[in-house]
Amino acid sequence: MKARGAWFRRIVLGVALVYFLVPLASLADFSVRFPLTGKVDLVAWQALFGGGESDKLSLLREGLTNSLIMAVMAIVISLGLLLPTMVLVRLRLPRMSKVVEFVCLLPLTIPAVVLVVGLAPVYLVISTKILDSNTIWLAFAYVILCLPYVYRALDSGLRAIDLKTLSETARSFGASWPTVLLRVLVPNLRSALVSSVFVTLAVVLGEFTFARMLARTNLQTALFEINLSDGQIAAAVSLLVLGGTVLLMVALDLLVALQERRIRPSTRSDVS
Amino acid sequence: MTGSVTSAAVTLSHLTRTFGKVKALDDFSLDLAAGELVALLGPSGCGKTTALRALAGLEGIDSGTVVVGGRDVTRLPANRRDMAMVFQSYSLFPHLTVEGNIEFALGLRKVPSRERAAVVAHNLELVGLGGHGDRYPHQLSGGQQQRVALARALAVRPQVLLLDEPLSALDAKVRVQLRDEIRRIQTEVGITTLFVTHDQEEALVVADRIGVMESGRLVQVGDPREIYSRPATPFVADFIGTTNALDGHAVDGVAHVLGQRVPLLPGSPTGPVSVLIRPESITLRPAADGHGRVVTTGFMGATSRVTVALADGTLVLVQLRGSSPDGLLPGEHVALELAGVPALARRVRA
Repeated sequence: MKARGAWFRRIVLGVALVYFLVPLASLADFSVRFPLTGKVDLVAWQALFGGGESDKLSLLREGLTNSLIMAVMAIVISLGLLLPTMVLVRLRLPRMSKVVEFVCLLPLTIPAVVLVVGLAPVYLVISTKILDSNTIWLAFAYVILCLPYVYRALDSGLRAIDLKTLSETARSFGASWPTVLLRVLVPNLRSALVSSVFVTLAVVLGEFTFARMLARTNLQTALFEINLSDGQIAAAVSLLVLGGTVLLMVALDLLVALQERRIRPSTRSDVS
Repeated sequence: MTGSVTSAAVTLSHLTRTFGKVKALDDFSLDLAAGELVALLGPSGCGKTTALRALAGLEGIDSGTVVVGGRDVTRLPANRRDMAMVFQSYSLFPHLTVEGNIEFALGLRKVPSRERAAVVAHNLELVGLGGHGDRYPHQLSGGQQQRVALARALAVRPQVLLLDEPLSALDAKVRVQLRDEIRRIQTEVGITTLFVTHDQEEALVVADRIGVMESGRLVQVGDPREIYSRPATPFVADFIGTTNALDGHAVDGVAHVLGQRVPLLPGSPTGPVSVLIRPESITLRPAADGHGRVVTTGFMGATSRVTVALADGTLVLVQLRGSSPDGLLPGEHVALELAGVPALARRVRA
């Protein structure tokens, strides 16, 4: 039975890997094969790393920079907004928790295209009256997009700790609310925070609809533009971004695992 | 850092707090002298924890005042009240070591960092956990975690120490051990302490004075002996220790029970009453024409417990000194002798 279970697991893993890796391999293949002749050439990669400058590259650089800045902004805003709110609701207004949950999960039910129709007039005001038409202000809209995922991650993190006792203990020792939040709760919510960061990063780097429909340049719209004229470069960049994101997430995950192991080793020492 | 603690007297005056329709605190007043350990005792839901949390500033009150060391702190938030608390659930910060936990609290109280190590070491020694400083909370047993929580609370030298059922999550043996230690340390350090518990034995052993609470009200405050031997109300008599309720008739401060006279405590009614008599205030004598029959006997080491069924079916618990109730076997007829210790009576319920 046990051996059969192991085999079954391997088969499932194999199928999943094939499912994910075949498109990636095809992408890699496409980036190094000239579409018309089928000849292997590294033109796309040379264009990226050859040191030359082109319109395509500068468009790409602009899109990537915008997307990264917006990812950071969305992470900071959504965590800064949601963490104190959720802590407050749990400690002081537990009856509001259903409302907060509903509001946070709402964006999941509204298609991006519908959202953007509603947001267009808002961004008209933002770009003409309040701020300017810089792409990075799209980060505010991305906060809404990420809300359900950040909410879910923080929700499970907060469930796992004794929020009331920890915060009351710190309060009774003289901690202000910001101290409670930053020095007591944040360290104990590390994995929840990291998963919020992951998912926000992934959502923002992959976002296309908002930027395209509001005529802004982010990574995905830049890739789309380049793809129209040079599919190979777009494929190479997509691969790079994917690889970079994966590396970043693995690094963060390892970092957290390392910290967690320091605090909660898997082997409990026997003290009584 | 063995400097004495600046203990403060505490006055809670006329505190009221309602949750919906429930009065958790109903005109609750209590004084604690500096350095005194007062235990608040009562069944769950009687408001004892609310009283402690009101003193800590963790729970708002509808009316009343809280004065600590002569200063009115009623409106101060918890973080500015100079108190320290040990909770029922384990409250150590999981991401910090034992040392880190204590240092964190010291940092919040602005203790200079060069002094912290010595304070940490001293207080860990005090609770018998010297050398455990580099452990994380999950590496400690429940009893050790509560010791660290106690060390952390003492380290900041608060004006008042608040203990909210700190022993109730621990197993029996550790509970007794730590209970005695809390008393030792509290006496040694001389810190004003409010100890909330639902365990009467804990309160009797640990406290200088006990306040017994019922439905948000303080029904009696006194030293443990007084509370035990001179309960002010039937509720206190019932809640502290074990009592037998024996039917009798009260006239002029004396009840006639089983043909014997029992002096009554003030506050007892007259007429047909139930007299609340402690198991140790009764002795047994074998007698064929006695009041009842032995139902069970139980050997408890220094004492023995005997249950006697009276003719009307009432069961009476008797606690006898000595290791064996000589010759008393189930089924045997016995006479009950009431030692004449003053007891409280309550009106017979219709």
